[in-house]
Amino acid sequence: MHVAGLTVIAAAGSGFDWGEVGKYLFDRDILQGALITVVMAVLSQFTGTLIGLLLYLMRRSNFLPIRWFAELYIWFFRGTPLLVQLELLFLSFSEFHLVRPIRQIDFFPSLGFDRIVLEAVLPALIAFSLNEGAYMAEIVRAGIDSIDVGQMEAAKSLGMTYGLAMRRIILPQAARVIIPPLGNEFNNMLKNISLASVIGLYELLRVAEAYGFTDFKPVEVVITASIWYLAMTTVWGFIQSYMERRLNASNTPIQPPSLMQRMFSGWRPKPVNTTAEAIAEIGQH
Amino acid sequence: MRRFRPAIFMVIPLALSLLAACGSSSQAAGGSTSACTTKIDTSKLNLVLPGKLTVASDITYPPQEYVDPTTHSYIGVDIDIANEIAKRLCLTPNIQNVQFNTIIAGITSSTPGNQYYDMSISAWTITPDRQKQVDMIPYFQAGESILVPASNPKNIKSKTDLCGLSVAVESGTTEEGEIKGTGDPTNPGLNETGGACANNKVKLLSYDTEDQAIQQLLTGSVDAAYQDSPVSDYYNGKNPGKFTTVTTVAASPEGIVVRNDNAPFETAVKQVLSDMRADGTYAAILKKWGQTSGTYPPLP
Repeated sequence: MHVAGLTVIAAAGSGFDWGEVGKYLFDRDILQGALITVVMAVLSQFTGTLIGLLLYLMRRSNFLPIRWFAELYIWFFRGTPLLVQLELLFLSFSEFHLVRPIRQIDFFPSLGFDRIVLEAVLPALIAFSLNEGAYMAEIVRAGIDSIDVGQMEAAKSLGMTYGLAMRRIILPQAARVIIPPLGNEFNNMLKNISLASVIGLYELLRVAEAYGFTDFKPVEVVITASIWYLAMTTVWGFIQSYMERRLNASNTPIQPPSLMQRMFSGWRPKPVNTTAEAIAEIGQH
Repeated sequence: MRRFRPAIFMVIPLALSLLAACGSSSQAAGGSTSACTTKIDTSKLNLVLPGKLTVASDITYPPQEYVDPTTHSYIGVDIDIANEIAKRLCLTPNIQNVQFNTIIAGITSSTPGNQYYDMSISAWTITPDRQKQVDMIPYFQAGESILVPASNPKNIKSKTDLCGLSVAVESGTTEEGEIKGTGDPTNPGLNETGGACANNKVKLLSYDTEDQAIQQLLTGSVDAAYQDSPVSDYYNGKNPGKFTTVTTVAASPEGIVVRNDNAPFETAVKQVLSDMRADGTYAAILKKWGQTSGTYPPLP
Protein backbone atom coordinates (compact mmCIF):
# COMPACT_ATOMS: atom_id res chain seq x y z
CA MET A 1 0.00 0.00 0.00
CA HIS A 2 2.74 2.39 0.96
CA VAL A 3 4.78 1.52 -2.09
CA ALA A 4 1.81 2.28 -4.33
CA GLY A 5 1.14 5.50 -2.42
CA LEU A 6 4.77 6.44 -2.80
CA THR A 7 4.57 6.39 -6.58
CA VAL A 8 1.45 8.53 -6.56
CA ILE A 9 3.04 11.08 -4.28
CA ALA A 10 6.27 11.17 -6.26
CA ALA A 11 4.19 11.76 -9.40
CA ALA A 12 2.19 14.49 -7.68
CA GLY A 13 5.50 16.18 -7.00
CA SER A 14 4.74 17.08 -3.43
CA GLY A 15 8.34 16.43 -2.48
CA PHE A 16 8.58 12.93 -1.12
CA ASP A 17 11.68 12.91 1.00
CA TRP A 18 13.71 9.70 1.41
CA GLY A 19 15.93 11.53 3.86
CA GLU A 20 12.97 11.84 6.16
CA VAL A 21 12.47 8.05 6.03
CA GLY A 22 16.01 7.57 7.26
CA LYS A 23 15.87 10.43 9.76
CA TYR A 24 13.85 8.47 12.32
CA LEU A 25 14.94 4.95 11.35
CA PHE A 26 17.17 4.63 14.41
CA ASP A 27 15.42 7.22 16.52
CA ARG A 28 15.28 6.39 20.21
CA ASP A 29 11.48 6.33 20.43
CA ILE A 30 11.10 4.37 17.17
CA LEU A 31 13.53 1.71 18.42
CA GLN A 32 11.74 1.65 21.75
CA GLY A 33 8.42 1.26 19.89
CA ALA A 34 9.82 -1.63 17.83
CA LEU A 35 11.19 -3.31 20.95
CA ILE A 36 7.92 -3.07 22.86
CA THR A 37 6.14 -4.48 19.78
CA VAL A 38 8.38 -7.57 19.74
CA VAL A 39 8.20 -8.09 23.51
CA MET A 40 4.40 -7.72 23.53
CA ALA A 41 4.04 -10.10 20.57
CA VAL A 42 6.27 -12.78 22.11
CA LEU A 43 4.56 -12.63 25.51
CA SER A 44 1.05 -12.60 24.01
CA GLN A 45 1.83 -15.48 21.67
CA PHE A 46 3.34 -17.49 24.50
CA THR A 47 0.39 -17.09 26.87
CA GLY A 48 -2.04 -17.34 23.96
CA THR A 49 -0.57 -20.71 22.98
CA LEU A 50 -0.85 -21.99 26.55
CA ILE A 51 -4.48 -20.78 26.70
CA GLY A 52 -5.10 -22.52 23.36
CA LEU A 53 -3.73 -25.81 24.67
CA LEU A 54 -5.80 -25.47 27.84
CA LEU A 55 -8.93 -24.75 25.81
CA TYR A 56 -8.28 -27.83 23.68
CA LEU A 57 -8.08 -29.99 26.79
CA MET A 58 -11.23 -28.35 28.20
CA ARG A 59 -13.06 -29.12 24.98
CA ARG A 60 -12.13 -32.77 25.36
CA SER A 61 -13.28 -32.81 29.01
CA ASN A 62 -15.90 -35.28 30.20
CA PHE A 63 -17.51 -32.59 32.35
CA LEU A 64 -20.13 -30.80 30.29
CA PRO A 65 -19.92 -27.23 31.83
CA ILE A 66 -16.16 -27.15 31.12
CA ARG A 67 -16.81 -28.04 27.49
CA TRP A 68 -19.47 -25.34 27.36
CA PHE A 69 -17.13 -22.77 28.81
CA ALA A 70 -14.43 -23.56 26.24
CA GLU A 71 -16.91 -23.41 23.35
CA LEU A 72 -18.39 -20.15 24.64
CA TYR A 73 -14.94 -18.63 25.06
CA ILE A 74 -13.85 -19.52 21.55
CA TRP A 75 -17.20 -18.38 20.15
CA PHE A 76 -16.83 -14.96 21.79
CA PHE A 77 -13.17 -14.26 21.06
CA ARG A 78 -13.31 -15.44 17.46
CA GLY A 79 -16.60 -13.69 16.93
CA THR A 80 -15.75 -10.13 18.01
CA PRO A 81 -13.08 -7.83 16.55
CA LEU A 82 -9.74 -7.67 18.33
CA LEU A 83 -10.00 -3.88 18.52
CA VAL A 84 -13.35 -4.16 20.31
CA GLN A 85 -11.90 -6.63 22.82
CA LEU A 86 -8.99 -4.27 23.37
CA GLU A 87 -11.22 -1.29 24.17
CA LEU A 88 -13.50 -3.45 26.30
CA LEU A 89 -10.58 -4.56 28.46
CA PHE A 90 -9.15 -1.06 28.61
CA LEU A 91 -12.41 0.35 29.98
CA SER A 92 -13.01 -2.62 32.29
CA PHE A 93 -9.71 -1.85 34.00
CA SER A 94 -10.98 1.51 35.19
CA GLU A 95 -14.50 0.25 35.92
CA PHE A 96 -13.02 -2.35 38.28
CA HIS A 97 -10.82 0.31 39.93
CA LEU A 98 -7.58 -1.24 38.69
CA VAL A 99 -5.95 1.82 37.10
CA ARG A 100 -4.64 3.36 40.31
CA PRO A 101 -3.04 0.15 41.69
CA ILE A 102 -1.51 -0.57 38.28
CA ARG A 103 -0.05 2.93 38.07
CA GLN A 104 1.53 2.50 41.47
CA ILE A 105 3.48 -0.60 40.42
CA ASP A 106 4.38 0.71 36.95
CA PHE A 107 8.01 -0.33 36.51
CA PHE A 108 8.58 0.85 32.94
CA PRO A 109 10.02 4.28 33.85
CA SER A 110 12.68 2.59 36.01
CA LEU A 111 13.64 0.44 33.01
CA GLY A 112 14.19 3.59 30.96
CA PHE A 113 10.95 3.30 28.97
CA ASP A 114 9.53 6.66 29.96
CA ARG A 115 6.69 6.57 27.40
CA ILE A 116 5.49 3.02 28.02
CA VAL A 117 2.79 2.77 30.67
CA LEU A 118 1.71 -0.43 32.40
CA GLU A 119 -1.91 0.73 32.30
CA ALA A 120 -1.79 0.34 28.49
CA VAL A 121 0.54 -2.67 28.38
CA LEU A 122 -1.55 -4.82 30.70
CA PRO A 123 -4.97 -4.55 28.99
CA ALA A 124 -3.23 -5.01 25.64
CA LEU A 125 -1.30 -8.05 26.80
CA ILE A 126 -4.44 -9.64 28.24
CA ALA A 127 -6.59 -8.84 25.21
CA PHE A 128 -4.02 -10.17 22.74
CA SER A 129 -3.45 -13.34 24.83
CA LEU A 130 -7.15 -14.09 25.28
CA ASN A 131 -7.86 -13.47 21.61
CA GLU A 132 -4.88 -15.55 20.51
CA GLY A 133 -5.97 -18.36 22.84
CA ALA A 134 -9.20 -18.81 20.90
CA TYR A 135 -7.37 -19.07 17.58
CA MET A 136 -4.65 -21.30 19.01
CA ALA A 137 -7.33 -23.64 20.41
CA GLU A 138 -8.48 -24.29 16.85
CA ILE A 139 -4.91 -24.76 15.61
CA VAL A 140 -4.00 -27.07 18.48
CA ARG A 141 -7.19 -29.05 17.82
CA ALA A 142 -6.28 -29.47 14.17
CA GLY A 143 -2.75 -30.54 15.13
CA ILE A 144 -3.68 -33.06 17.82
CA ASP A 145 -6.65 -34.48 15.96
CA SER A 146 -4.41 -35.13 12.96
CA ILE A 147 -2.50 -37.71 15.00
CA ASP A 148 -3.89 -41.20 14.58
CA VAL A 149 -5.83 -42.42 17.66
CA GLY A 150 -3.73 -45.56 17.46
CA GLN A 151 -0.79 -43.54 18.77
CA MET A 152 -2.58 -42.80 22.03
CA GLU A 153 -3.85 -46.37 22.30
CA ALA A 154 -0.36 -47.74 21.75
CA ALA A 155 1.11 -45.36 24.32
CA LYS A 156 -1.52 -46.36 26.88
CA SER A 157 -0.94 -50.04 26.21
CA LEU A 158 2.72 -49.44 27.05
CA GLY A 159 1.56 -48.19 30.43
CA MET A 160 1.82 -44.45 29.83
CA THR A 161 -0.64 -42.15 31.54
CA TYR A 162 -2.73 -39.72 29.44
CA GLY A 163 -0.50 -36.79 30.38
CA LEU A 164 2.74 -38.61 29.66
CA ALA A 165 1.43 -39.91 26.32
CA MET A 166 0.37 -36.36 25.42
CA ARG A 167 3.78 -34.91 26.26
CA ARG A 168 5.97 -37.65 24.82
CA ILE A 169 3.95 -39.06 21.94
CA ILE A 170 1.10 -36.85 20.75
CA LEU A 171 2.32 -33.24 21.17
CA PRO A 172 5.74 -33.76 19.52
CA GLN A 173 3.99 -35.17 16.45
CA ALA A 174 1.24 -32.56 16.54
CA ALA A 175 3.89 -29.82 16.70
CA ARG A 176 4.77 -30.55 13.07
CA VAL A 177 1.24 -29.66 12.05
CA ILE A 178 0.92 -26.80 14.53
CA ILE A 179 4.16 -24.92 13.77
CA PRO A 180 3.27 -23.55 10.29
CA PRO A 181 -0.08 -21.97 11.35
CA LEU A 182 1.51 -20.89 14.65
CA GLY A 183 4.15 -19.03 12.65
CA ASN A 184 1.38 -17.39 10.72
CA GLU A 185 -0.32 -16.37 13.95
CA PHE A 186 2.86 -14.85 15.33
CA ASN A 187 3.43 -12.92 12.12
CA ASN A 188 -0.09 -11.50 12.51
CA MET A 189 0.55 -10.82 16.18
CA LEU A 190 3.60 -8.68 15.40
CA LYS A 191 1.47 -6.47 13.18
CA ASN A 192 -1.66 -6.52 15.36
CA ILE A 193 0.22 -5.01 18.31
CA SER A 194 -0.18 -1.72 16.42
CA LEU A 195 -3.90 -1.81 17.33
CA ALA A 196 -2.92 -1.08 20.94
CA SER A 197 -1.99 2.45 19.82
CA VAL A 198 -5.66 3.40 20.38
CA ILE A 199 -5.42 2.69 24.12
CA GLY A 200 -2.23 4.69 24.49
CA LEU A 201 0.47 2.06 24.03
CA TYR A 202 3.46 3.97 22.69
CA GLU A 203 4.39 1.32 20.13
CA LEU A 204 5.93 1.68 16.69
CA LEU A 205 2.89 3.07 14.84
CA ARG A 206 1.97 5.58 17.56
CA VAL A 207 5.55 6.94 17.63
CA ALA A 208 5.59 7.19 13.83
CA GLU A 209 2.28 9.06 13.82
CA ALA A 210 3.58 11.54 16.37
CA TYR A 211 6.72 12.28 14.35
CA GLY A 212 4.72 12.45 11.15
CA PHE A 213 2.76 15.35 12.58
CA THR A 214 5.76 17.15 13.91
CA ASP A 215 7.55 17.30 10.59
CA PHE A 216 4.50 17.25 8.36
CA LYS A 217 5.94 14.18 6.64
CA PRO A 218 3.42 11.48 7.59
CA VAL A 219 4.01 9.17 4.65
CA GLU A 220 7.76 9.13 5.14
CA VAL A 221 7.59 8.33 8.85
CA VAL A 222 4.94 5.65 8.37
CA ILE A 223 7.30 4.08 5.81
CA THR A 224 9.98 4.16 8.49
CA ALA A 225 7.61 2.15 10.69
CA SER A 226 6.84 -0.21 7.78
CA ILE A 227 10.55 -0.91 7.36
CA TRP A 228 10.71 -2.01 10.97
CA TYR A 229 7.58 -4.15 10.66
CA LEU A 230 9.07 -5.79 7.57
CA ALA A 231 12.37 -6.37 9.38
CA MET A 232 10.56 -8.04 12.27
CA THR A 233 8.37 -10.28 10.10
CA THR A 234 11.33 -11.18 7.85
CA VAL A 235 13.47 -12.28 10.77
CA TRP A 236 10.52 -14.29 12.03
CA GLY A 237 10.15 -15.86 8.56
CA PHE A 238 13.71 -17.23 8.81
CA ILE A 239 13.16 -18.48 12.36
CA GLN A 240 9.94 -20.21 11.35
CA SER A 241 11.55 -21.82 8.32
CA TYR A 242 14.38 -23.12 10.51
CA MET A 243 11.94 -24.51 13.08
CA GLU A 244 9.91 -26.30 10.43
CA ARG A 245 13.02 -27.93 9.01
CA ARG A 246 14.22 -29.07 12.41
CA LEU A 247 10.85 -30.57 13.32
CA ASN A 248 10.63 -32.40 10.04
CA ALA A 249 14.13 -33.84 10.28
CA SER A 250 13.21 -36.40 12.91
CA ASN A 251 10.23 -37.72 10.99
CA THR A 252 10.94 -37.95 7.33
CA PRO A 253 13.95 -38.09 5.06
CA ILE A 254 12.32 -35.53 2.76
CA GLN A 255 13.48 -32.03 3.64
CA PRO A 256 11.31 -29.10 2.67
CA PRO A 257 13.30 -26.32 1.01
CA SER A 258 14.55 -23.54 3.26
CA LEU A 259 13.44 -19.95 2.78
CA MET A 260 16.67 -19.14 0.94
CA GLN A 261 16.25 -22.16 -1.34
CA ARG A 262 12.64 -21.29 -2.06
CA MET A 263 13.68 -17.81 -3.07
CA PHE A 264 16.90 -18.47 -4.97
CA SER A 265 16.86 -21.98 -6.45
CA GLY A 266 15.11 -21.55 -9.77
CA TRP A 267 11.43 -21.03 -10.43
CA ARG A 268 10.20 -24.26 -8.90
CA PRO A 269 11.23 -25.14 -5.36
CA LYS A 270 13.23 -28.35 -5.25
CA PRO A 271 13.33 -30.66 -2.23
CA VAL A 272 16.84 -31.04 -0.87
CA ASN A 273 16.55 -34.81 -0.75
CA THR A 274 14.28 -36.63 -3.15
CA THR A 275 12.59 -39.78 -1.88
CA ALA A 276 14.64 -41.83 -4.31
CA GLU A 277 17.87 -40.35 -2.93
CA ALA A 278 16.74 -40.97 0.62
CA ILE A 279 15.90 -44.61 -0.11
CA ALA A 280 19.24 -45.04 -1.83
CA GLU A 281 20.93 -43.53 1.22
CA ILE A 282 19.14 -45.87 3.60
CA GLY A 283 20.11 -48.79 1.36
CA GLN A 284 23.79 -47.93 1.80
CA HIS A 285 23.72 -48.30 5.55
CA MET B 1 12.32 -31.39 19.76
CA ARG B 2 14.71 -31.09 22.67
CA ARG B 3 16.68 -28.45 20.89
CA PHE B 4 13.69 -26.13 20.95
CA ARG B 5 13.04 -26.11 24.63
CA PRO B 6 15.70 -23.57 25.57
CA ALA B 7 14.45 -21.24 22.85
CA ILE B 8 10.85 -21.42 23.96
CA PHE B 9 11.63 -21.13 27.65
CA MET B 10 13.72 -18.02 27.14
CA VAL B 11 10.42 -16.23 27.42
CA ILE B 12 10.07 -17.19 31.07
CA PRO B 13 13.26 -15.52 32.36
CA LEU B 14 12.28 -12.49 30.29
CA ALA B 15 8.90 -12.33 31.99
CA LEU B 16 10.49 -12.94 35.38
CA SER B 17 13.01 -10.17 34.89
CA LEU B 18 10.15 -7.82 34.09
CA LEU B 19 8.42 -8.85 37.31
CA ALA B 20 11.62 -8.49 39.30
CA ALA B 21 12.05 -4.98 37.98
CA CYS B 22 8.50 -4.34 39.06
CA GLY B 23 9.30 -5.22 42.66
CA SER B 24 12.43 -3.12 42.90
CA SER B 25 11.09 0.08 41.41
CA SER B 26 8.29 0.89 43.82
CA GLN B 27 10.49 2.93 46.15
CA ALA B 28 11.78 5.00 43.24
CA ALA B 29 8.35 6.61 42.84
CA GLY B 30 7.43 9.64 44.90
CA GLY B 31 7.57 13.38 44.84
CA SER B 32 10.83 15.18 44.32
CA THR B 33 9.49 18.68 44.84
CA SER B 34 9.80 19.58 48.49
CA ALA B 35 10.19 23.35 48.25
CA CYS B 36 6.85 23.76 46.48
CA THR B 37 3.97 25.35 48.33
CA THR B 38 0.35 25.71 47.29
CA LYS B 39 -2.75 26.88 49.07
CA ILE B 40 -4.72 24.01 47.52
CA ASP B 41 -4.87 20.71 49.40
CA THR B 42 -4.00 18.24 46.62
CA SER B 43 -4.95 15.25 48.76
CA LYS B 44 -8.60 16.23 48.29
CA LEU B 45 -8.48 16.40 44.49
CA ASN B 46 -9.17 12.67 43.86
CA LEU B 47 -6.08 12.39 41.69
CA VAL B 48 -5.60 9.11 39.86
CA LEU B 49 -2.03 9.04 41.11
CA PRO B 50 -1.00 10.97 44.23
CA GLY B 51 1.58 13.67 43.54
CA LYS B 52 1.01 13.57 39.80
CA LEU B 53 -1.23 15.42 37.39
CA THR B 54 -2.19 12.81 34.81
CA VAL B 55 -3.14 14.54 31.58
CA ALA B 56 -4.38 12.92 28.36
CA SER B 57 -3.53 14.58 25.09
CA ASP B 58 -3.40 13.41 21.49
CA ILE B 59 0.11 14.60 20.68
CA THR B 60 -0.48 14.90 16.93
CA TYR B 61 -1.86 18.40 16.68
CA PRO B 62 0.71 21.16 16.18
CA PRO B 63 0.97 23.86 17.35
CA GLN B 64 -1.10 22.89 20.38
CA GLU B 65 0.50 19.51 21.14
CA TYR B 66 3.22 17.65 19.24
CA VAL B 67 6.55 15.87 19.66
CA ASP B 68 9.89 17.64 19.51
CA PRO B 69 11.97 15.25 17.37
CA THR B 70 15.33 16.16 18.88
CA THR B 71 14.47 16.10 22.58
CA HIS B 72 11.67 13.52 22.20
CA SER B 73 9.55 15.62 24.54
CA TYR B 74 5.97 16.75 24.11
CA ILE B 75 5.68 20.45 23.30
CA GLY B 76 3.06 23.05 22.33
CA VAL B 77 0.72 25.64 23.82
CA ASP B 78 -1.45 23.07 25.60
CA ILE B 79 1.53 21.20 26.99
CA ASP B 80 2.98 24.41 28.44
CA ILE B 81 -0.37 25.23 30.05
CA ALA B 82 -0.71 21.71 31.49
CA ASN B 83 2.83 21.82 32.87
CA GLU B 84 2.16 25.22 34.43
CA ILE B 85 -1.04 23.95 36.08
CA ALA B 86 0.85 20.97 37.50
CA LYS B 87 3.66 23.21 38.73
CA ARG B 88 1.27 25.51 40.56
CA LEU B 89 -0.46 22.55 42.23
CA CYS B 90 2.94 21.15 43.30
CA LEU B 91 2.34 18.06 41.17
CA THR B 92 4.56 16.25 38.68
CA PRO B 93 3.06 16.50 35.20
CA ASN B 94 2.35 13.07 33.71
CA ILE B 95 1.26 13.62 30.13
CA GLN B 96 -0.14 10.59 28.32
CA ASN B 97 -0.21 10.48 24.53
CA VAL B 98 -3.61 8.93 23.77
CA GLN B 99 -5.67 8.71 20.61
CA PHE B 100 -8.29 11.50 20.62
CA ASN B 101 -11.34 9.23 20.40
CA THR B 102 -10.41 7.27 23.55
CA ILE B 103 -9.81 10.29 25.82
CA ILE B 104 -13.33 11.13 27.07
CA ALA B 105 -14.00 7.49 27.94
CA GLY B 106 -10.71 7.45 29.85
CA ILE B 107 -11.84 10.46 31.89
CA THR B 108 -15.50 9.60 32.55
CA SER B 109 -15.14 5.89 33.27
CA SER B 110 -15.48 4.50 36.79
CA THR B 111 -15.54 6.76 39.89
CA PRO B 112 -13.40 9.85 40.68
CA GLY B 113 -9.80 8.79 41.21
CA ASN B 114 -10.21 5.42 39.49
CA GLN B 115 -10.40 6.62 35.91
CA TYR B 116 -7.39 6.83 33.57
CA TYR B 117 -6.74 10.58 33.42
CA ASP B 118 -7.35 13.52 35.72
CA MET B 119 -7.97 15.85 32.81
CA SER B 120 -7.37 16.35 29.13
CA ILE B 121 -5.94 19.30 27.30
CA SER B 122 -6.09 18.51 23.60
CA ALA B 123 -7.68 21.40 21.68
CA TRP B 124 -11.19 20.39 22.78
CA THR B 125 -13.74 22.77 21.30
CA ILE B 126 -16.50 23.38 23.84
CA THR B 127 -19.74 21.90 22.50
CA PRO B 128 -23.07 21.19 24.25
CA ASP B 129 -22.77 17.50 23.35
CA ARG B 130 -19.42 17.18 25.08
CA GLN B 131 -20.65 19.21 28.06
CA LYS B 132 -23.32 16.58 28.68
CA GLN B 133 -20.57 14.11 29.52
CA VAL B 134 -17.79 16.25 30.99
CA ASP B 135 -17.09 19.73 32.29
CA MET B 136 -14.99 21.97 30.09
CA ILE B 137 -12.93 24.83 31.50
CA PRO B 138 -12.28 27.46 28.78
CA TYR B 139 -8.59 28.34 28.39
CA PHE B 140 -8.07 29.10 24.70
CA GLN B 141 -10.05 30.04 21.64
CA ALA B 142 -9.83 28.88 18.10
CA GLY B 143 -11.96 29.22 15.04
CA GLU B 144 -12.27 26.92 12.12
CA SER B 145 -10.96 27.41 8.64
CA ILE B 146 -10.76 25.55 5.37
CA LEU B 147 -7.40 25.03 3.74
CA VAL B 148 -7.46 25.01 -0.06
CA PRO B 149 -4.69 25.06 -2.70
CA ALA B 150 -3.15 28.55 -3.04
CA SER B 151 -5.02 29.42 -6.23
CA ASN B 152 -8.34 28.26 -4.71
CA PRO B 153 -9.34 26.49 -7.97
CA LYS B 154 -12.84 25.53 -6.71
CA ASN B 155 -13.46 29.11 -5.56
CA ILE B 156 -14.41 28.16 -2.00
CA LYS B 157 -15.58 31.17 0.01
CA SER B 158 -17.74 29.57 2.68
CA LYS B 159 -18.69 26.23 4.17
CA THR B 160 -21.59 25.68 1.77
CA ASP B 161 -19.20 25.91 -1.20
CA LEU B 162 -17.96 22.48 -0.11
CA CYS B 163 -21.10 20.74 -1.47
CA GLY B 164 -20.14 18.06 -3.99
CA LEU B 165 -16.41 18.47 -3.32
CA SER B 166 -14.10 16.04 -1.53
CA VAL B 167 -12.99 17.26 1.89
CA ALA B 168 -10.43 15.75 4.31
CA VAL B 169 -10.94 15.99 8.09
CA GLU B 170 -9.52 14.33 11.19
CA SER B 171 -12.01 11.82 12.55
CA GLY B 172 -13.82 12.78 15.74
CA THR B 173 -13.30 16.51 15.25
CA THR B 174 -15.98 19.22 15.34
CA GLU B 175 -15.38 19.82 11.65
CA GLU B 176 -16.25 16.22 10.82
CA GLY B 177 -19.47 16.63 12.81
CA GLU B 178 -20.37 19.83 10.97
CA ILE B 179 -20.32 17.96 7.68
CA LYS B 180 -21.55 14.52 8.72
CA GLY B 181 -23.97 15.75 11.39
CA THR B 182 -24.19 14.81 15.06
CA GLY B 183 -27.80 13.67 15.09
CA ASP B 184 -29.04 17.02 16.42
CA PRO B 185 -32.18 17.88 14.34
CA THR B 186 -32.01 21.59 15.25
CA ASN B 187 -28.49 21.85 13.88
CA PRO B 188 -28.15 19.44 10.96
CA GLY B 189 -24.78 18.71 9.40
CA LEU B 190 -24.17 19.74 5.79
CA ASN B 191 -24.83 16.21 4.53
CA GLU B 192 -27.86 15.52 6.72
CA THR B 193 -31.50 15.97 5.75
CA GLY B 194 -32.16 19.69 6.04
CA GLY B 195 -28.46 20.50 5.68
CA ALA B 196 -27.09 22.73 2.94
CA CYS B 197 -25.51 19.87 1.00
CA ALA B 198 -28.25 17.25 1.50
CA ASN B 199 -28.84 16.98 -2.25
CA ASN B 200 -25.22 17.35 -3.35
CA LYS B 201 -23.30 15.74 -0.54
CA VAL B 202 -19.78 16.59 0.51
CA LYS B 203 -17.45 13.64 -0.17
CA LEU B 204 -16.14 13.42 3.37
CA LEU B 205 -12.82 11.65 3.98
CA SER B 206 -11.97 11.14 7.65
CA TYR B 207 -8.42 10.39 8.74
CA ASP B 208 -7.00 9.23 12.05
CA THR B 209 -4.54 12.07 12.17
CA GLU B 210 -4.53 15.66 11.02
CA ASP B 211 -1.39 15.35 8.95
CA GLN B 212 -2.94 12.53 6.96
CA ALA B 213 -5.77 14.92 6.11
CA ILE B 214 -3.37 17.69 5.11
CA GLN B 215 -1.32 15.22 3.08
CA GLN B 216 -4.41 14.43 0.98
CA LEU B 217 -4.71 18.12 0.17
CA LEU B 218 -1.01 18.42 -0.71
CA THR B 219 -1.21 15.50 -3.12
CA GLY B 220 -4.38 16.88 -4.71
CA SER B 221 -6.48 13.89 -3.59
CA VAL B 222 -9.04 16.20 -1.99
CA ASP B 223 -10.30 19.69 -2.79
CA ALA B 224 -10.05 21.03 0.75
CA ALA B 225 -9.08 20.18 4.32
CA TYR B 226 -11.22 21.43 7.17
CA GLN B 227 -9.83 21.97 10.67
CA ASP B 228 -9.35 24.42 13.54
CA SER B 229 -7.79 27.74 12.59
CA PRO B 230 -4.56 27.37 14.65
CA VAL B 231 -3.89 24.15 12.78
CA SER B 232 -4.65 25.70 9.40
CA ASP B 233 -2.32 28.57 10.29
CA TYR B 234 0.37 26.16 11.40
CA TYR B 235 0.32 24.04 8.24
CA ASN B 236 0.01 27.14 6.09
CA GLY B 237 3.20 28.44 7.72
CA LYS B 238 4.96 25.09 7.20
CA ASN B 239 4.17 25.10 3.46
CA PRO B 240 4.54 28.72 2.42
CA GLY B 241 2.73 29.63 -0.78
CA LYS B 242 0.93 26.29 -1.14
CA PHE B 243 -2.33 27.00 0.67
CA THR B 244 -4.98 29.67 1.19
CA THR B 245 -7.14 29.72 4.32
CA VAL B 246 -10.87 30.38 4.23
CA THR B 247 -12.32 31.25 7.64
CA THR B 248 -15.70 29.64 8.24
CA VAL B 249 -16.25 29.97 11.94
CA ALA B 250 -15.10 32.82 14.11
CA ALA B 251 -13.00 31.82 17.11
CA SER B 252 -14.86 29.81 19.75
CA PRO B 253 -13.57 28.68 23.14
CA GLU B 254 -11.65 25.48 23.75
CA GLY B 255 -11.76 23.81 27.15
CA ILE B 256 -9.77 21.66 29.51
CA VAL B 257 -11.80 18.47 29.95
CA VAL B 258 -12.45 17.34 33.53
CA ARG B 259 -14.94 14.97 35.15
CA ASN B 260 -18.28 16.52 36.07
CA ASP B 261 -18.39 14.72 39.43
CA ASN B 262 -15.05 15.84 40.86
CA ALA B 263 -15.71 19.40 42.07
CA PRO B 264 -12.52 19.86 44.18
CA PHE B 265 -10.32 19.13 41.18
CA GLU B 266 -12.32 21.35 38.83
CA THR B 267 -12.23 24.26 41.31
CA ALA B 268 -8.47 23.88 41.74
CA VAL B 269 -7.81 23.97 37.97
CA LYS B 270 -10.05 27.03 37.57
CA GLN B 271 -8.25 28.77 40.44
CA VAL B 272 -4.82 28.06 38.96
CA LEU B 273 -5.90 29.24 35.50
CA SER B 274 -7.18 32.53 36.88
CA ASP B 275 -3.90 32.99 38.82
CA MET B 276 -1.98 32.37 35.58
CA ARG B 277 -4.04 35.01 33.79
CA ALA B 278 -3.59 37.51 36.61
CA ASP B 279 0.22 37.30 36.77
CA GLY B 280 0.82 37.26 32.99
CA THR B 281 2.12 33.69 32.71
CA TYR B 282 -0.82 32.75 30.50
CA ALA B 283 -0.21 35.62 28.07
CA ALA B 284 3.50 34.76 27.95
CA ILE B 285 2.79 31.13 26.98
CA LEU B 286 0.46 32.14 24.13
CA LYS B 287 2.95 34.73 22.91
CA LYS B 288 5.76 32.16 22.88
CA TRP B 289 3.76 30.00 20.41
CA GLY B 290 2.51 32.87 18.22
CA GLN B 291 -1.08 32.25 19.30
CA THR B 292 -1.96 35.57 20.92
CA SER B 293 -5.18 35.58 18.89
CA GLY B 294 -6.16 32.49 20.87
CA THR B 295 -6.34 34.37 24.18
CA TYR B 296 -9.48 33.55 26.17
CA PRO B 297 -11.45 35.53 27.26
CA PRO B 298 -10.84 37.39 23.96
CA LEU B 299 -8.62 40.45 24.01
CA PRO B 300 -10.54 43.73 23.65
